[in-house]
Amino acid sequence: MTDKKITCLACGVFRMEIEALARQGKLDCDITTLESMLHMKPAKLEQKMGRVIEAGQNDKFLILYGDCHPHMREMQDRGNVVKVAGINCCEILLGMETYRKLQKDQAFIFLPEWTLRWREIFTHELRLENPEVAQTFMKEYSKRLVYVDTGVMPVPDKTLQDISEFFDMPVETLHISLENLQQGIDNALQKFTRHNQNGKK
Amino acid sequence: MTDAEQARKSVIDAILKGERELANNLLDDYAVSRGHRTAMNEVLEPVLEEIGSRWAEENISLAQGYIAGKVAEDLLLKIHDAEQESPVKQADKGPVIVGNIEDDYHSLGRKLVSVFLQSAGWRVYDLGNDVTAEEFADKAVETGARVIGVSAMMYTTAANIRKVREELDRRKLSGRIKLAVGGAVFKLRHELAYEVGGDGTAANGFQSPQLFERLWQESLRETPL
Repeated sequence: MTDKKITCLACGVFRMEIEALARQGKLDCDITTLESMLHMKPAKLEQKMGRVIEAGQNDKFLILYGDCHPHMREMQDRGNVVKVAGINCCEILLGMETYRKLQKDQAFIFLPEWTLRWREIFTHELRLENPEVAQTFMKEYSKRLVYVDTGVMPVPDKTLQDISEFFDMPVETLHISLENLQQGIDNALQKFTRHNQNGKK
Repeated sequence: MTDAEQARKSVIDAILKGERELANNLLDDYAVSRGHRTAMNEVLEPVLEEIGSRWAEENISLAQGYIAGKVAEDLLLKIHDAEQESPVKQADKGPVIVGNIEDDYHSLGRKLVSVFLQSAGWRVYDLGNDVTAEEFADKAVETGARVIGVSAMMYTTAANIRKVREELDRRKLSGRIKLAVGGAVFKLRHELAYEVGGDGTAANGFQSPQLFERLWQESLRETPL
């Protein structure tokens, strides 16, 4: 199994971060990303992921997703698939402890890729076109808006200002490194090593 | 078309256009000579059922579902205020518990369920997010609830619902206290409701009143008062 090509099948929300890791020589595999908006359509996401994996039956897959469709666990039952641990993209990047703290604080988390297309997500996908409705909604469900700066692009100050005005709430910026992502990927890839060692026994 | 049918049509249109205030005004108009409770029973409840059917067909956006919940909440508040002042109190269907399971923080669905259950006459104890099995069981015992509704968005957190079933079994409460489960993951993985020990699930939050009614009746049959 070690000779097989490894493909990192990732949500598009991680695209900039995994490309950064690849550039730094910390991720050595082919990268396939799927549209991050599939998060809103888990059945379609499952179908698309399934097709990619079926098409590469002779490859190994590193799945960089959270618990984003209901059969993610079964996907890992295949011998050639491992998944990075984490309930969603935010937890994968932030680590469990920080993620849980933000959840308990009722923080709404903006990751870089979604931040750049925030208007499309809120007005088209969620249909929160009316700012008054959007503000009531966001204030009811979130106490804080937090932009996570992963260091892969400049902090989009103007966009964050637009978001802040749209929801009538301040946007905080949380600077993080890619350490948790890197660690998650390394831990997942080690499962291939264990599979391989078990296979040889 | 009767007044009630006309009102339902107008309220649905207002909700779908995201016009919360207009929907509220339409319900107030209907309530002028009939009262807010009648507006709930004759207009809003059927409207919520209709929106629930459309939600199941994925023809409703999150914003529209949210507006429907807020309109129901607004009307409930008016009913509550009116009944505070009235010597005649509306009989409630009984106490029920809702909450998001341990480690789950996706509260939108649960809050909508809470509002829709109240609209249908249930006395709802909403325990919020990240609720442990012990907390669910304790509150059900304390209030005499026969149904606990547990919400989970994802597979990982849904697996924690088993702990509620185990807790009910441990206290020998299964049968008397029924476990309703719901959340996005159950929609695409129906069998999960029973895998985690649930007694039933609904296609969406709008249909939760029917589910709770069914489970309450099952509980009464299995362990009468």
